[in-house]
Amino acid sequence: MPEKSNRLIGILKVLHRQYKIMTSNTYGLIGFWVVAFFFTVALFAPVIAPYPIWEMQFDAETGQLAMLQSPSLQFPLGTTHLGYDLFSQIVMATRTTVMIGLISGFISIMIGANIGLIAGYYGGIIDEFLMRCTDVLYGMPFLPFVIILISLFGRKIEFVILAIALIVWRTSARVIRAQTISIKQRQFVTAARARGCSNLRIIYRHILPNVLPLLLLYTSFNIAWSIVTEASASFLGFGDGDTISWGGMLYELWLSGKTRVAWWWFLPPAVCIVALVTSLVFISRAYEEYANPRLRETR
Amino acid sequence: MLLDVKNLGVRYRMDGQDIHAVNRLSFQLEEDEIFGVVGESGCGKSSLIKALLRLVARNGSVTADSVNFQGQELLEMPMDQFRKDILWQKIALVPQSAMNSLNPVYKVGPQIVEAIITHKKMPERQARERVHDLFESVGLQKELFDSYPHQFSGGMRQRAMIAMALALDPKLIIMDEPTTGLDVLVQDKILKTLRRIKEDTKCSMMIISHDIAIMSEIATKIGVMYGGGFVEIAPTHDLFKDPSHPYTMGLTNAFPSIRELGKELISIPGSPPVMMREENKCWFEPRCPFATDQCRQSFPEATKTGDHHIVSCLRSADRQKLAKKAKEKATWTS
Repeated sequence: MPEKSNRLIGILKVLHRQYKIMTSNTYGLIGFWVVAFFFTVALFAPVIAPYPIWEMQFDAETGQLAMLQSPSLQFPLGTTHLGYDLFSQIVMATRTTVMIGLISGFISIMIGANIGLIAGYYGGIIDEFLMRCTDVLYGMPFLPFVIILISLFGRKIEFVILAIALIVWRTSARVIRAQTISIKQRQFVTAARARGCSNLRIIYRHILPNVLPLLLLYTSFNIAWSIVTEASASFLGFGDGDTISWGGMLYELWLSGKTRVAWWWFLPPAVCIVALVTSLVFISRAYEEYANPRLRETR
Repeated sequence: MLLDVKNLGVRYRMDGQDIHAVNRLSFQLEEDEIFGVVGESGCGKSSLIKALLRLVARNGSVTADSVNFQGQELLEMPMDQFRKDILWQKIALVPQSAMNSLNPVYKVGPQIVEAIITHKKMPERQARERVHDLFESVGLQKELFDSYPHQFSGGMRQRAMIAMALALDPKLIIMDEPTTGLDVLVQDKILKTLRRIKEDTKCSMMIISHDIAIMSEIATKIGVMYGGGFVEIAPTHDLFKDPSHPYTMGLTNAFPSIRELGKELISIPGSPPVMMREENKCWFEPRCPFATDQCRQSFPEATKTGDHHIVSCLRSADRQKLAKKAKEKATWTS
């Protein structure tokens, strides 16, 4: 039993450490709280949203369909041309966007980290093959690739996530490979080999913890990139039609042709995208300073 | 007999050329022995270790008539089995620059515990106790268990590496330059620790160093390497009393002795050979003041000059005369 509670304390310590790293500078601190805010909204979205998102709303005073109303007490962010409540939509969209960002971000860092570690550690023909694959992916234009994947597999949210993850991993793979090559030359790796450690053990127990700061940095980057990609794809109409995301809201606005009139419609999703992505980049910066202390000295 | 190596060779392929790092190397190691290997930089010491542990880099190849460890042929064993059954269980390595051989992101104690658990199925608690014992036997305080490697001094890290090597009671511990980079007092303490460990565990040790003074203090038997092979192997006492190879004579000249203060040291002129091909001649011949035409024509086979004294020199019959001459500076400079 004491071992179990020790482990819990260990996990808490690690989390506390991550918090310390993220909030080590002002931008990181801002980023952390903005991200925390969006995550909380995403978590409690159904509780916060006052109306169902795909249901026409009626004006409480006049009893008429609330078409394209500007923000009021009844509808804090106004309504769409079909009378949908925008505040409810943006809250629910937060949930979709955060989920897509997190899942794609994690899948892509998984792919990137493993490919980077394996290519860097084994070297030779394996490295050559994996890195050329990465190069091919670099040759692909970002959005068309996602769009083609989505149109091939369909506009389901699973495929959107997968399509994004399949392209976002490339940079993390390259960077982690480079770091792995440097770390595998260190003496403690030879020492591990002399103790009879298997290759996989050396990769995941000895090298991985040493590339961790870099890995966290790229996790944060990948989440940000996933969110941007999702917004772009949704804005072009390649999102999942059954769920709503920030990009999807902008797409609806574009379809309605009311872009010039309904400032309350395009401003919130746009601000949310920029705020969340910028905050994630701020967090990345904090990790970057941690992973590369030389950046700190230049201040 | 613990380890019997016959005619070991290691060559590295570099830019289309072969470098013969180890050539025609043979030696035997008994149980309960401390075998010191000395030689200057580039003589093949590290390649020898790598060959024994099968850690030679990808561009290197190892050949041997036999590398027999407790009746098992090490080089013929499947790599997987070798890794699991031999490495660390039977033969442990304390690597060169042990300072950097601990993973910087793990605490020292848990690092050893984890290594033990993976090799031997044993509960964590038991492994922890084992590490506490190990720490004690190498002279580290138990409180250091939960420290990171960067909190250790060089000597402490060296001790931790020795503790790690001891963890599974290996039969043979190979140490690559165990005292290099440590100050003299710490060196002395480490040597004392090693000697005590040998008394306690009865394991054999193979210690590689370029410091012949350290060897004289700890080794029971010394092998002198030159040109990728042993030119002389003898019990420590015999080696210093009766050096039989001209290189050994030169080597003992080149180290200061506390009894003969102020005496000028004599160094061996020239530099070690770069071994591009296997030649049928004595590798030391170009630097040897006693070389004859014969030395240029045939490789000196190992011959016994005493019970345990093996020399690879064609002129070993004249060794007493040569040893006397080798003490004079003029012999080496002319």
